[in-house]
Amino acid sequence: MKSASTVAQITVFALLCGCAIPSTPLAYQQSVKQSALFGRTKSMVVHRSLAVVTATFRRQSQRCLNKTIFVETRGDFGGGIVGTVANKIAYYSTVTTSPGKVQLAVESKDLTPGTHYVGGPKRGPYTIVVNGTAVNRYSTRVNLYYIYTTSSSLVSAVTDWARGSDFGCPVLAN
Amino acid sequence: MRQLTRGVTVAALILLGGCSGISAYRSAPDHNLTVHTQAHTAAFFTRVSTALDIYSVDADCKLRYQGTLQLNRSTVALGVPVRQRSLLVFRFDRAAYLAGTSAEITDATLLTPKFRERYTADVRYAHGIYDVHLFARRWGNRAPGWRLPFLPLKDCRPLKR
Repeated sequence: MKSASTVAQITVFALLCGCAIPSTPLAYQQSVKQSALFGRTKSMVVHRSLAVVTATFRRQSQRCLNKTIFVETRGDFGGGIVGTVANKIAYYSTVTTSPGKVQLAVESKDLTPGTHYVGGPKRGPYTIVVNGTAVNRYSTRVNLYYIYTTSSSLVSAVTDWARGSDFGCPVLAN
Repeated sequence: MRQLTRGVTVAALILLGGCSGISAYRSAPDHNLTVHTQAHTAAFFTRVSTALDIYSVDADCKLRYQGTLQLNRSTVALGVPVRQRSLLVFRFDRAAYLAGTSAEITDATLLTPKFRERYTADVRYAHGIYDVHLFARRWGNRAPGWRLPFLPLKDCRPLKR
């Protein structure tokens, strides 16, 4: 049995995109927007300049989102087999900027032997994409795109970073 | 039957104590690091435990495990060898009993304690968000001191001999 979150993400994207894992942040956003059932979006205007939001995303993603976590799942795997499965999941983040915009994209990949990905980004499927657009000199519109299996702590942390209310790191597991 | 029970108990203790790979940290006599921990979770069937793994770092940046300190009290004081590089690994384990899952994430920093300096680590976990801040101050000085940047192991540079 593979990690619940990874399997769920792959399955969701298979359903969303006709058996293809989105290979770019833009494709991921479109998939999320097209799926009312699995996709989630969040939009807000924060009273912080784009430069400040960008600096926060860079600093925090470096420290908090380029990590490997270990997840153990205990349970009944059918056929009377009860046991524990350990998964090693790596997270990678990328911050890109263009005039008036910033994008934070996070990918996650199950490194457990026996886990295979067909297509999609090299560092694993996207788990969240965050776009920041300057509204004016003092405020920024922030849009989050994710799916229902994305770690709630990750969504919460990125929201806090954008708002400047908390600079902690998410535990990343669901 | 009693002998069998005793044998099983001894075997379990040997396995737990010797093979888990975790051993208690033997603190240096001078307690130069104080760790303040606040960890709580809102979820009913979720438990969070925090621990500090300490490794010595040699001239070639190779690690040697020194032991683990469970951060199960709000304040814990320990001694980290002065003028030696150490890697402090703050470990957060979250167990969700109903889901049957547990997850571990770590935050680590290199530290080379100086003579006559004291260090404070503020460790926080709440609602799936963790944070660690490390401060240094001069010995005998009650002022809060200054915040130290987190230096991951990849920033370790071999020492010239």
